[in-house]
Amino acid sequence: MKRAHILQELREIFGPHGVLWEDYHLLLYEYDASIDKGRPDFVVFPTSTEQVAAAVRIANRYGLPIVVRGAGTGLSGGAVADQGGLMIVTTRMRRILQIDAANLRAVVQPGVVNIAISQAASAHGLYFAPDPSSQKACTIGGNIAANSGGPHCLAYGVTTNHVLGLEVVLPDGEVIEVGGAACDWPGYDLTGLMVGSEGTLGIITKAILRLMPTPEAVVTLLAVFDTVDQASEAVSAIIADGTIPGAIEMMDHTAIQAVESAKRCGYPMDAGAVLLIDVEGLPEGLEDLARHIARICEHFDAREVRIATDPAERERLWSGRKGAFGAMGRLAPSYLVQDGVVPRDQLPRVLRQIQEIGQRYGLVIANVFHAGDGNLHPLILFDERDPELTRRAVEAGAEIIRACVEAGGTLTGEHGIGLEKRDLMPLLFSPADLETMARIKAAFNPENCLNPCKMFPSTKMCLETWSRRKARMAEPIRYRAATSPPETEEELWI
Amino acid sequence: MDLTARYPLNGHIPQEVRQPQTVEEVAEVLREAARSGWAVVPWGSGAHQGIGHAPTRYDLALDLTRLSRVLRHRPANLTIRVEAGMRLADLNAMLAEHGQWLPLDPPFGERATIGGILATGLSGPLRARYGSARDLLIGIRVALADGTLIQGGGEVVKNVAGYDLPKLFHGSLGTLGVMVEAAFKLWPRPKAEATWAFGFSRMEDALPLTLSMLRHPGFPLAVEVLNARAWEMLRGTLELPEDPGARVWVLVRAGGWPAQVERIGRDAAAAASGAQVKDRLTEETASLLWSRIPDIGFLPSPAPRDGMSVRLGLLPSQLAEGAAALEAAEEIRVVWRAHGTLGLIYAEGRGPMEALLQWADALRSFALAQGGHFTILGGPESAKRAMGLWAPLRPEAEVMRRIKAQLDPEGRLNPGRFGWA
Ligand SMILES: Cc1cc2nc3c(=O)[nH]c(=O)nc-3n(C[C@H](O)[C@H](O)[C@H](O)COP(=O)(O)OP(=O)(O)OC[C@H]3O[C@@H](n4cnc5c(N)ncnc54)[C@H](O)[C@@H]3O)c2cc1C
Ligand SMILES: Cc1cc2nc3c(=O)[nH]c(=O)nc-3n(C[C@H](O)[C@H](O)[C@H](O)COP(=O)(O)OP(=O)(O)OC[C@H]3O[C@@H](n4cnc5c(N)ncnc54)[C@H](O)[C@@H]3O)c2cc1C
Repeated sequence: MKRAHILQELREIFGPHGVLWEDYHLLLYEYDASIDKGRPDFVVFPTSTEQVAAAVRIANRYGLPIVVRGAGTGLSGGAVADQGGLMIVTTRMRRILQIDAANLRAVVQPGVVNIAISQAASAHGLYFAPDPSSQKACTIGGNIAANSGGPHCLAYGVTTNHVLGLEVVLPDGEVIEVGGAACDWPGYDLTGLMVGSEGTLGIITKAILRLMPTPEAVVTLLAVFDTVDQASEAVSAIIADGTIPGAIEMMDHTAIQAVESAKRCGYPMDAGAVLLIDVEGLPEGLEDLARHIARICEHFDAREVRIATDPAERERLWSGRKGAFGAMGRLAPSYLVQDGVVPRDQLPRVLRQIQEIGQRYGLVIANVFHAGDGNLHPLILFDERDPELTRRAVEAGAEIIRACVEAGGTLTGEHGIGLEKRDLMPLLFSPADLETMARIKAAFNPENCLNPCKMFPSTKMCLETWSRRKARMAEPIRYRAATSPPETEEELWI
Repeated sequence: MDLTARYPLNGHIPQEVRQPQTVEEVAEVLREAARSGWAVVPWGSGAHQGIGHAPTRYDLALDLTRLSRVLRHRPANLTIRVEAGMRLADLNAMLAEHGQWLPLDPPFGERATIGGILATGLSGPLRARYGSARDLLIGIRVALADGTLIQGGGEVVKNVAGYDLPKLFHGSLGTLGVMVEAAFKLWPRPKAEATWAFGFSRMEDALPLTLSMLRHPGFPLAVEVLNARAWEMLRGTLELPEDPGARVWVLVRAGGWPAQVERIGRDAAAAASGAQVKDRLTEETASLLWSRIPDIGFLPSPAPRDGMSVRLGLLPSQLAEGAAALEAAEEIRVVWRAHGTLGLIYAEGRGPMEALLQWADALRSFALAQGGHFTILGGPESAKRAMGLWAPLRPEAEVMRRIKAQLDPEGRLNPGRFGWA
C-alpha cells in the first residue's frame, strides 16, 4: 500500500515516463561497473534541481534511502542501491548551461557526459582537463562525487582542482550554493569537501568548472621495455628529473596481450611493459623535451622508443590504453580492478608484490595504470559465475591494497571507497579519523538517508538490511506484460 | 618580557602560553585546555593573526613554531611532509638544494609558517601557474579541540580515501583544529625564468594582456596587476621602469624551458599593444620584485587605526570595473594588486575611518552586483563588526556552523573568528 502511495507521489512529479518501479526495469539499475549489486525500489529521472529536491522530500517522508546515479560506470559500488530505496538518476540533467570562454569557465548540469564538456569548449580552443578513461560515458556529477582522475591528471591535477562551485541539494531537500565562478569563496571550503564525497553529503545539481587552453602541440612516446622493473625505474627517473609530462601510463605484458589483439594499436606482443608518455604544451622545445625523455627511457634499457607527432598515430597508440579495460574480455569473463596508490619510487617493489600475490592465489593479474602518479590498476581476472574464484579475486584484491598501504600509499586514487573498500578503511584510518569523518557527514546528512552505508566500515545495521535485501533479490523475477503506456521515444533511456 | 605579552590580539593578551615541541605535546596542551575550559588561539609567526574577527575569547596562545621539522622528503617522488610550525622560507631554502620548491608566495611569506598559510588560505602571484596551497596539500594531521590527533589524505599525489579533510582545514582560520603536520606535492623549479613589465594608462587597455595570459598554453608563472601607487612604492627601492602616465602595471613572469620562456614573453608583448612601457627586467630586479609583491595590499597585524585591507573575488574579465570601483573614493589612498588571471584583488585603503567604511561598503555592493565576493582582511575590529567580515552570507553558512559544532562542540578554538560559533 505504502509502495503504491510512493509511486503515486513520484508519478505526480515525474510523470509516467520519469519513474521506474517494475522489477524488470529496476534490474537495469541494480549495478555499476563494480561487482556489487543491489536493486532500488524506485528509479526517477529528474530534469531540474526542483525535481531532485522534490524527490528527496518524498523519500524522506517515507523513510527511503536515496542513492544518486550518474552513468553507473563507478568502480566501487558507489551508485549501487544495496539498501534499496529511491535511486535518482541524473542522465536527463544533461545541459551545458554556459561556456564563458573569456574566463575559462563552464557551468553544467550533473548528467553532462565528461567528454561533452571538452567537445563544447573546443570551439573556443579550450577543454576540461580531467579525462577518466570512461570519459565517453561517465557524467560530470559522478566525476565530482568520485573526484575522478585520468591519464592527464599527472600534469593538471584531478577533478577537485577543476571545480570552482556547486549547487547542492542537501539530504533534507534544501538547495545551497557552495563556491562560485570567482576563486576563494570565503568560509569553509565546502566545495572541496563535496568533491570526492561519493554522494554521501549532498546531491550535485549544477557545477561551475575551470576550463584549460588546449595544448598547441602534443608528442606521444611509446617506450618498450623487457621488464616491468625497467619501466617503473624509468618512470621514477622521469619524475625526479624535473620535467613533468602530461601523462605517463604503463601496461604490463598481460595487458599488452589483451589490448594488442583487440585493438591492433602497435604494441610489441613480446614486450614486458610499455610506457605511453605525452609531452605537451608549446611547440617550442617540445621535441627536444621528448628526445630528452626518450634518452632517460633508453638509459633504463628501453629496447625501443617510438616518438609520434602525427595525430592519427598518437590516437592509435592511445586507443589501446583507453580501451584496455574492455579488452580484458579477451582474457576472462570478469575482472576486479584495484586502485591503490604508492609513492612513485615504490612502484617496482609493489608491482613485484602484485605478481607474487597473483601467483599465490592462482589468478592472472594484468596491470594498466597511471604510472606517473603511482596510481596502480591491477586487473584481477576471474569468472564471476564461480563463487570460489570470486572469493579468491576479492581476497587477492584486499591483499594488494594492504601492500599499497604498507608501502606508504593509499586504498584508492580515483575509484572511491563505495561499498567495495569500505571495510578496508581501517587499514589507513584510525577510529578517531573515521569518527571525525562521521561527524562531518552528520553535519550534512544527519539521518544517514543519502547513500547510507557507503565509504565507511559497515555497521551491524547496514549488514542486516543488506542480507535481507540479498535474500529478496535471489527470488526469481516475474516478467509481466507492460502495464505502462505505449513506448515513446522518451523510453530510450531504459 | 612576560611571555604572554608577545601574543597580543586586538589589545588582549592571553593568560597562558604554551610552546610545545612535539605533536604529542600539542595534544597534551589541548587536553589541558579542554579540562580548564580555555579558549585557544593557535599561533604560527603571528603574521596573519589580524585575519578574521578577533576571537571573542582568548585564554591560551598555542605557539607552534617549535614544531619545525621536516618529517619526510622523498625527492624522487616530489613529495614532502613537514611539521606545521616550519617557516615556508626555511622549507624552500632546503628544497632549493634539490632543484625543487613548494611554489607558494603568500603575503609575509618570509615569516609565515606552513600552518598559518594553510589556516588563512592566502595565496600569491605564483598561484597563476601552480594553484594555491589548496591544490598542493595532499595530507594533513590535526589536533582537535579535545586533543585527539587525526589525519586526512596521505603522502601520495592522488588519494580519494575518505572525505578530503585537507580541503576542509585549508582556509578554516584555525577554528576546526590545530594543524600539526602537512604533506605537499612539490614542483621542480623551472629551468629558466624571465619577467616583463608593461605600463598602461587604463586597466581596460591591460585586459587583452591579462586575458590572453589566462588562456596561454605555456602557463605563465604569474600575471600580477598593480596600480600606480603600488608601483611607485616598489620603485622607491628597486630599479623599475617609470611612466608618469601609467595608472596600471602588469608583470608577466614566465618559466620553463628557455624557448618556452621567450615565446611567452613574445606573446605577452604582442597582447600588450596598449602598453606605454614594455620592459624585460634584469634577473636581480625581478627576483627582488617578486619577493616584495606578495605583501602589497595587505595590512600587517595589528592594523593601523587609519587603514583597512579588503579582498574582492571577481572574474578575470571584471578587473577593469574592479579597478574603477577601488579608486572611486577620492579621500582614500588605495594601493591594490590583482592576480590578473584569477580575478582576485587585494587592496589596502588609508584615510579617515568613516570614509574607509564608506569605501568598503561601496566595494562590497560592487562585488555583490558583479556576482563576486568581498572580504575584509585587515582593519580595526570595530570596522569588521560594523560591516561583517564577508559577503554574501549564503544559506551554506548554516552547514559551516554545523561542521564547527561537530568538530569543536565547546567552541574553544579561535571562537568567533568567522563571526559565528
Ligand atoms: C572502463 C572504465 C574506465 C574507467 N577509468 C577511470 C579513470 O581513468 N579514472 C577514474 O577516476 N575513474 C575511472 N573509472 C570509474 C568511473 O568512470 C568514474 O568513477 C566516474 O566518475 C563515475 O561516473 P558516473 O557518472 O558513472 O557515476 P556513477 O557510477 O553513477 O556514480 C559514482 C558515484 O557518484 C555518486 N554520484 C553520481 N552523480 C552524483 C551527483 N550528481 N551528486 C552526488 N553524487 C553523485 C554516486 O552516488 C556514486 O557514489 C572508469 C570506469 C570504467 C568502467
Ligand atoms: C559499466 C559497464 C556497463 C556495461 N553494461 C553492459 C550492458 O549493459 N550490456 C552489454 O552487453 N555489455 C555491457 N558492458 C560490457 C561492455 O559493453 C563491453 O565490455 C564492451 O565491449 C567494452 O567496450 P569498450 O568500448 O570499453 O571496448 P571496445 O573497444 O568495444 O572493445 C575492445 C575489444 O575487446 C573485445 N571485447 C570486449 N569485451 C569482450 C568480451 N566480453 N568478450 C570478448 N571480447 C571482448 C572486443 O572484441 C573489442 O575488440 C558494460 C561494461 C561496463 C564497464
